[in-house]
Amino acid sequence: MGPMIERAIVKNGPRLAVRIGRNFGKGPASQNADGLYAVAGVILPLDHPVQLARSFRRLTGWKPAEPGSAGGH
Amino acid sequence: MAPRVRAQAPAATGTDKISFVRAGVFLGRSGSAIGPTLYVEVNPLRWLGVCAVAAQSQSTSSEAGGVADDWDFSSGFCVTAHAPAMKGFVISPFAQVGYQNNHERFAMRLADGDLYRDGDNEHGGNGSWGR
Repeated sequence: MGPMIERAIVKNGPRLAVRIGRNFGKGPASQNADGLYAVAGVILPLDHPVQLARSFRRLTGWKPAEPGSAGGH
Repeated sequence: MAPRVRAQAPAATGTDKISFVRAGVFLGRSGSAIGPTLYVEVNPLRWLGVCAVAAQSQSTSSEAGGVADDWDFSSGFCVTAHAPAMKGFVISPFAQVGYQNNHERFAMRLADGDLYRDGDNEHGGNGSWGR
């Protein structure tokens, strides 16, 4: 059967995924390019939105400013 | 004697379990041409899930002195199984059935200046299986 292959970019964060298959049946999709179905993209786990947001911080390397560290002399 | 301290291994990527609900965006050949796909997946079991897809694809080409537009919209659902992760990679076989609306339009300027137009609308069910 057809595979979707995926891998997490960061823990609890977005995942890169590729889906490969073949269209069949009467639809026009099965008549073009031998019915090739191939898509690639990003999947987001939605169970823990907070952890997902933190994963984006890790992904971008962004760190929240510590209290008192901004504008101090 | 100093206590032995075990170094903490960094969190490995790709080893976290499959979420109960996931959503995604894909780009590629989903129908007759290339376009975006929206994807939603629900996994009642850790290793088994159901998913829904909605995709659109579009292509424009020059043929026989005219311009041909081909676009379609596909929607469907699928069943997927999740194998255990191997080296961070998860392989999930899927079977998908869908319904596709396909539209073709052809326009060509004739020698007398008139615009010739032709079109076709086609629809039908299809399924996707990985090879």
